[in-house]
Amino acid sequence: MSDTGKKNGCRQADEMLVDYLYGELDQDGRQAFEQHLAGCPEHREQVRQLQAVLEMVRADNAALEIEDVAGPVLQQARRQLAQRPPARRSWWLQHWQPLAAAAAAGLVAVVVGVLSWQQLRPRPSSLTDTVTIDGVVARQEEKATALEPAAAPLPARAEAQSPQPEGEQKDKKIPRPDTAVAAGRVTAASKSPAPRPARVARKRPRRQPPAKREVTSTGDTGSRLAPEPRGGLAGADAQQVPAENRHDRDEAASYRRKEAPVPARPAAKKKSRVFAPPPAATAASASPAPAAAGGALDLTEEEAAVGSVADVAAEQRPRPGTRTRRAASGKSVADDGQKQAGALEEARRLLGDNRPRQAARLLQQYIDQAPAGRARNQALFLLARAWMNAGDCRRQVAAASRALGAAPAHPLAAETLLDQASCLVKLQRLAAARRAYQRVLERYPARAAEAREGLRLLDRLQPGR
Amino acid sequence: MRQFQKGQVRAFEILLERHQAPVYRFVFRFVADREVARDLVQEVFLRVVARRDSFERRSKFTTWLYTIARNLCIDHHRRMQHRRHQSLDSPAREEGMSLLERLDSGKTPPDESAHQRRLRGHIGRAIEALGHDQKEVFLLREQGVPFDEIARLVGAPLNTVKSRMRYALQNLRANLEAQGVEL
Repeated sequence: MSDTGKKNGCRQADEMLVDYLYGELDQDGRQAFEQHLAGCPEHREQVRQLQAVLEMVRADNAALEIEDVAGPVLQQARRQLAQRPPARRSWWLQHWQPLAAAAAAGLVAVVVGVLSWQQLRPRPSSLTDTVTIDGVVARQEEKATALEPAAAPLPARAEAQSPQPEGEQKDKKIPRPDTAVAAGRVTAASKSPAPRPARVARKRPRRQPPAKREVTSTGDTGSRLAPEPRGGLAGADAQQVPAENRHDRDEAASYRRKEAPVPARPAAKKKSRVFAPPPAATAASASPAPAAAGGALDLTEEEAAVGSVADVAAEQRPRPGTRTRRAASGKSVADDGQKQAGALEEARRLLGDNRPRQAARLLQQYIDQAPAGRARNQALFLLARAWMNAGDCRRQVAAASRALGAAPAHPLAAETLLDQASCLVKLQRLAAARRAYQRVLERYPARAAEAREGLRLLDRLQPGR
Repeated sequence: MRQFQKGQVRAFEILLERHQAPVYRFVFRFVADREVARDLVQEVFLRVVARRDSFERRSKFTTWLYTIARNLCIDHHRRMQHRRHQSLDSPAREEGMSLLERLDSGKTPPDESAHQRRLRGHIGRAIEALGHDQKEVFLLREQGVPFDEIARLVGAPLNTVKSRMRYALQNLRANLEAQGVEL
């Protein structure tokens, strides 16, 4: 056989080697391979040696004493299987149910608002009509501005929001559609069915101070025309100000609007109208969300010093107001619980898939939101593990301290403490590492061997000690 | 598996009996520590119970089972990489015996010869010295998982898997020879 032919044969034999050793060649393949072996001493020797290796490993495997895990596993499995398996919700339900719940709650809020307004509805008067018409136009335009900011005719808007002379208002009141068209603005208002007055009437007093003055003087109830507790001079602020001053503020605000074009409202505020009762939503969007702030404040000093955990949390923290809206939307506690369990499960999966940083982010987010309890403790320990797997010792140390502080008797406590000790060694904090190993010795005797090993290592690193 | 998914404990017992030993061998060879292997095998089967609803019959049960086992082993391995503990398989000079051998020596039956114990230590070290990719392919195939399933499990083409296997065997042979084991 030529050298080239032999080389080709050997290359082919290399490719078939594994299949041959595991008996996965078909009849023809096996014959061809054995034919090659007959003429190739190197491959013959290689096959003999590899077969010897496999026999050795298999013999050792067969002799390996198997640790029986059936007892404890079956015990736990029985417990789990005895429980009714969790009903698997469809994809649609999982994703859309929360939104549907929020929408339903929003709808209920709107209906309640409309009904309550109708209870207090003022007698049809020229003023109210005017208010309604202008309010509708203003609202429509606001919508248009939000959708097409560039196309919004700013001068017209300023005009719309400026206080109008009373005579003009009276002209405006009949007929409505004409007024809207005459204003030269969004014609959709005239085409649409009669607007729901509840929202509009509440808007008006801030935009038309003279009108408000007139209404107040006619003895209409304050509640009917009280400024909407939302945005601008909202809620509590407006309520605390005496009526006259309130009017002054409204008027001043109105003129300010006249001078400068009003920027489109932030989307979050628009959303809050739908999802949440106004005061709560406003408070939530105006100040940092209590949940998020609480999560950050929960950090131990050590973690705060590290800072990184909080940074990660901030990256993934829900937008301010999210929880408030969710709570207000009537989401059940059970649903939250399911979601939390899902987050933990997902974090475990990420850890299993060797994506510890993603797992850590998810866990941090979960920890910030979850109430104290077993699930949160579990998340704390998993977070420590995630940072360990990611090789981030500083964060591991911080997370481990937090987890061990929360649940020193947790099943993962010993493992976490050992991890922390080795991280401390890596960070050259040898005294702290020694204390951690000693703590393992004292508290978790089952892991004493590893702790002693760690202490021996420390002795070698600190020979003079 | 279908019976087990419906919640039958007996079905789970059968699965446990059938797969416990090979999964234990796989995990033990992977982590080289009896205690850890026992804990991980427990965890594997508990995950099987907990996630039984997520098993889809498109893949084989063994593929799913070993995917869980492999992920747990990798998870453990990565953690251990960051620890500065003395490696269990590195010989501790003062005692002249590796920790693995010492651990094993306390557990092995008295009739097992010193030669067998030494050989086990050599094999353990040879396997431990394999690269991660080669080791997992070798250990999975030795537990009877076919190559095409291994390819799915590790997410690599079939030819790559076979190629890793060939290198694994050659490296094992070289490692054993380097330790003075006659083949």
